[in-house]
Amino acid sequence: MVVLAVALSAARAGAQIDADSPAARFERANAAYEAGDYAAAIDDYTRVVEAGVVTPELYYNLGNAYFKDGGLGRAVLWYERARRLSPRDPDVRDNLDLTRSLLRDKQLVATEPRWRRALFAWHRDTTAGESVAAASALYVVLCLLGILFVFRESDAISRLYARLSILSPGRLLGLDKAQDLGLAMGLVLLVCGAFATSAVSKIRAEQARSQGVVVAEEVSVFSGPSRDASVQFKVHEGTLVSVRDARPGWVRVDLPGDLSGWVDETTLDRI
Amino acid sequence: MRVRLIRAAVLAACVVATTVRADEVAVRATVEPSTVEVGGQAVLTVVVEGKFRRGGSPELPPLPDFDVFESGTSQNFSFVNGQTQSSLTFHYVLSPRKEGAFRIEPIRYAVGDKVYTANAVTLDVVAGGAGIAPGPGPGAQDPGQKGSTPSSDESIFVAASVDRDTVFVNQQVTWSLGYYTDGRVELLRSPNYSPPEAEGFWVEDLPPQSKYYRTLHGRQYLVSEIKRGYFPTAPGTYRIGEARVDIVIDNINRRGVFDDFFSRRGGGFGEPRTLRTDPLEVVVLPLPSSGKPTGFNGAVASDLVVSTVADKQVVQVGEPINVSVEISGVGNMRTIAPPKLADLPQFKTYESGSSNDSFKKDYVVSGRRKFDFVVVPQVEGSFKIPAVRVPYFDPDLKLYQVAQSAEIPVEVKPGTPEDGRKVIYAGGGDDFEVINRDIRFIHAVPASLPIASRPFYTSPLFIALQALPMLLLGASAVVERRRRRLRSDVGFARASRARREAERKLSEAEHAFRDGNASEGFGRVHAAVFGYFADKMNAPVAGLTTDALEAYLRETHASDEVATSLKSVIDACDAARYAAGAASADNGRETAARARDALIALERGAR
Repeated sequence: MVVLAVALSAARAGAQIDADSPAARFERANAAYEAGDYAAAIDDYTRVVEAGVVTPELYYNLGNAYFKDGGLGRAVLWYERARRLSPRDPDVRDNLDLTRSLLRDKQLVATEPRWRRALFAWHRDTTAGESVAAASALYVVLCLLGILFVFRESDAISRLYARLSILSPGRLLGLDKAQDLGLAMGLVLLVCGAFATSAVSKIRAEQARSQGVVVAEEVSVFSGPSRDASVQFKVHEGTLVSVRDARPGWVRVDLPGDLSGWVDETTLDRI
Repeated sequence: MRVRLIRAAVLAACVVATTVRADEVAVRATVEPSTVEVGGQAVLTVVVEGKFRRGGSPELPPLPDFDVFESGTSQNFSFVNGQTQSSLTFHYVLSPRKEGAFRIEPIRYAVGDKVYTANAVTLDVVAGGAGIAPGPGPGAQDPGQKGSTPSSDESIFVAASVDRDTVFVNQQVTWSLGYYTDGRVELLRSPNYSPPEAEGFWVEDLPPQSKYYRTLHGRQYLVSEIKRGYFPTAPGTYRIGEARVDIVIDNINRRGVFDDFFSRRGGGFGEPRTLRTDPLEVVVLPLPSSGKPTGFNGAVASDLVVSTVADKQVVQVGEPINVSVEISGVGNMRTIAPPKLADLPQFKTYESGSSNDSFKKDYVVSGRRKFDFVVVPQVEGSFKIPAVRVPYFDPDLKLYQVAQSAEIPVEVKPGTPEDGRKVIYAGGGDDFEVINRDIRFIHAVPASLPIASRPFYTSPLFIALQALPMLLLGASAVVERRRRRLRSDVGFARASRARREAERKLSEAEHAFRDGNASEGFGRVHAAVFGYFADKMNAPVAGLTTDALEAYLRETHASDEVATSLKSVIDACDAARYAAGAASADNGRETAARARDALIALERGAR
């Protein structure tokens, strides 16, 4: 009987643990969202985040819940966080675009020309980890091409090159083996450098948390880190800012259009 | 809801509309009619519009020259893109107490921490006879009125009554306060009225204040009467407490004329008095338990009417239809639960807004609630939007009833494939808006929920592995360079393989010594040594002399020990080759070993 009681107690404890597990809370939050209880959904999603779970699905759903609850600032915040983890997710991108279209400070949303967006899609649509992996893989390829270049006169490498270089642009351009390999190495080096630069910029941004989103309804931007300083302009919830400097209780933010100033640090959340 | 009864005189009104926009909430105030007589009535309307969810009642400025009554509110909500658009309308009845031009200061309205204001409005009030109706006659009482029958012979007193003392839950009880004065008492200040406490009721003010003459005990009184509607929220016996009217009587200078209720002003100290009504009890009956129709949700009303209207009945697949359900009737319509459209599997249904209007005609509370939906057909065909059914209890008939709207036929024609996928998010009523984009739906819980950890690219192993490809490349370059030199530089090639060749010959010599062929062995040892130096010097073996060898050893800074050892090896080999009997296998093996050690030492020294 004692053994049975202990077993039942353990089972109940296990059930309790399961009910409080991040997965169970995630499920409850989704159910609350579907029932239209967005406040409860926000509460449960937030608890899952506090448990240390890092997934784009969680951040995206939390952004949705804030959107439905009318909190556009925090919706932008969590969509941006989801985008960092899953930059190619069309749902995240679409909801972020829609939310931004509803913001009051639409003119402060940084816009890029279409050509530039297309040209730098590889940078925007990759995570820091993916950029590091791409740069690392290209670096390995670069070294292998270097080895091929070194042994280009050997019979084995010559045979290998003859097989691999059928579609080589250098060969089509009439370049010899050394020039062709040199051209390939140059191109790989260029792309590798680009991904490495992309990776470094993302890692720095993530470590410094240099981007933030205004979460207060309206925020006065002062000329200095003091309420006695003059108010230069006001920004509203959901506006994306770059954080450049910090003092106790204050952060300096930059905005598109060479706008800059100091805001109360509690009025924005870092991405 | 709260009534503000403020002492004042009566005047006319004007229509002034002002709007102050601050951020996304606008407050607008109007007064109608533009001119009103003293004792007449003007309606002050306050409209609050904007993106907000919660707000209270407007804060009116002090209006000491008016009697003010709330006379109903109207609400309208719509939901667009996750934001609520609200429109609230508040109506107040202003009854001026004296003539003149009056300015109503800005009305304030709080949303959260922010306060929005409307501009001030002005009123013109002119003198005039406030038509006072003849009373119901000596000692008469309104039919059905329960409560304290005025029996006082005082010159001034108050009396309260209710129109019925037994009602059903949520049925209106009309409470009346009569202020009687025979004109022989002069007041120094306007009476101050405090409404009764009444727990367990939902309260509605019932303007306007009425005045009439009434004869009691042989005296003619001017009666000023105000009313309130009480809606009990649960069965039981409830008490409407005493109402108080505080007055200050001028007991020196009695003017003896009939005057308006709450309109006298005067100086001096006078005699303060408090007039009180008797508390009244109301018995609240529960709704009958038998005969309740299915779906009954506690609605209590009379003459309930439900109507459903669709803005179009012939549409394409994916084309939205606005459906409005309106419920109107007599009673507290705020307690009417929102209706639900029956399941329409071929349609997507969205709630898009609601509005609420209340009326108080003839001191009876009535109302109208409107609920807006958007339905979007997903497939073609002929369908019917089902009737909306609202069961309710009629307290006058003491029966449960069911109000029902008519079905609405809808013809859905084929549409383009895109029509069926249009995302509809609706505004309300005339503001209906089709927006092609709503946020996309939430994602399912992923199979695994990873906990935050350090990125792979910060691990020492990953960083160390990055050096490997570069090391391989460097090693390849070194190997290839050596390979090319070996091919192109004979001296380098001979020098590189000198040690290996010497070792091969020494091994052959050891084989010869083991086979007992000492002479052959010593020859091999000699060839190994001279071959080694020939390769190192890139010179032919045939022309290599002992002197040249010694010169090489000096050039390479070989140690004396090595040089001596090599010389002894060469001497031993020469002796064995040219002196018969000097060659023995044991001596040969020892010589070969010495030669190996010397060459190894020489190689080490060369590095």
